[in-house]
Amino acid sequence: MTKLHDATALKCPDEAALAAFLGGKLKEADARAIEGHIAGCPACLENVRAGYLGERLHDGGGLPASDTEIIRKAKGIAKMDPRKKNIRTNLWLAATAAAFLLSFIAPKFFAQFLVASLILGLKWVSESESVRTLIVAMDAKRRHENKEEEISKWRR
Amino acid sequence: MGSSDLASPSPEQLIEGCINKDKRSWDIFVERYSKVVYWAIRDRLKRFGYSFEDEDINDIHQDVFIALWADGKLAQLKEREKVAGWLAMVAGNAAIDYFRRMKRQSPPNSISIYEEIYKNGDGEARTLEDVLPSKAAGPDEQAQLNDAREALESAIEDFKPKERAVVKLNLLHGMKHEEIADMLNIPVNTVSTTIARAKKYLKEKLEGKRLL
Repeated sequence: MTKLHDATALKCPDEAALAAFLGGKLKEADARAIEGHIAGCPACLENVRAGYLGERLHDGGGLPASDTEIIRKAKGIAKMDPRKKNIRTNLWLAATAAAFLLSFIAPKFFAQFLVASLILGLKWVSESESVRTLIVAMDAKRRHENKEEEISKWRR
Repeated sequence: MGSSDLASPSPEQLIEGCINKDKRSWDIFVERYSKVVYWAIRDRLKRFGYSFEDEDINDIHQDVFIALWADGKLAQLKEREKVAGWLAMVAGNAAIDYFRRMKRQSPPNSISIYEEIYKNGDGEARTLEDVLPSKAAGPDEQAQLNDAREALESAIEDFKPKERAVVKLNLLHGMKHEEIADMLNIPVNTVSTTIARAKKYLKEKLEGKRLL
């Protein structure tokens, strides 16, 4: 069995260095060093293989088109301006805190402000990146568990 | 980008545009390279034996493009005309990261070169199947294969680094002689000779251990 990660191996070159190696753009000594590394590191050899075949398949035009929905989602990444998003998220947080404080300052409207702070707080949570990451992670976990359940049902 | 470049910008122009947060460049970039990213994710997951669904590929695809746009990963690329190959590597590694992070699954500790070789019964001469005809059956066959694997692993370490890379690309990754020659920038004849010599050497080693 060939070990994927050799503990004695030197640090793996990054994808940019491996791409330069594939393109024959490295100095002789650097190319020899990478050659020596990939001979003993199947993970990097796997990367070199993927890089070589990826380039060839792309240039050959034989790859099937991606789903339009994932292309649309990937294009949408550019519409996310992290600075604007942070300002907006922080505004929700500030409004939540303000509504909460007002509920004590104006006891007459305590319940109304408290409900408002709850709604604004929920809005802040839904806009928060870390919470969204958590939701994505939990969704992936749920899918994984469902699949395991299906497999165990099938085995039974 | 100038108006004359808009129809079919070069990879260098596209990457420059994306680094400078030009949304039109980004749209063209995504359209052009989504296919290779998608292929590389599937390829890596299949080769590493992960069980996956379309949703996993879609999530990883999105992770890759977020890293390129929001995390500035594209700026790391120096050989910009080789962007498709670089993306295939980035996408493959992102697939491994995703399974480690989201599903707590690490990549396999080892790749079984010879399991794959024995599984593929397509008769192509580029595997060790020709060299290692199994004479036993059932558990004996398995024991023989395990012994053969160990002997081959040990023998393959005797080669020089370049020869080892050539032999592993052929035997482990099933790549053709021409592809290996092109990839490592060496003549095809050298690759063929190296592989033939390596197979002969491995065969002798196995015969020496009475595994053939």
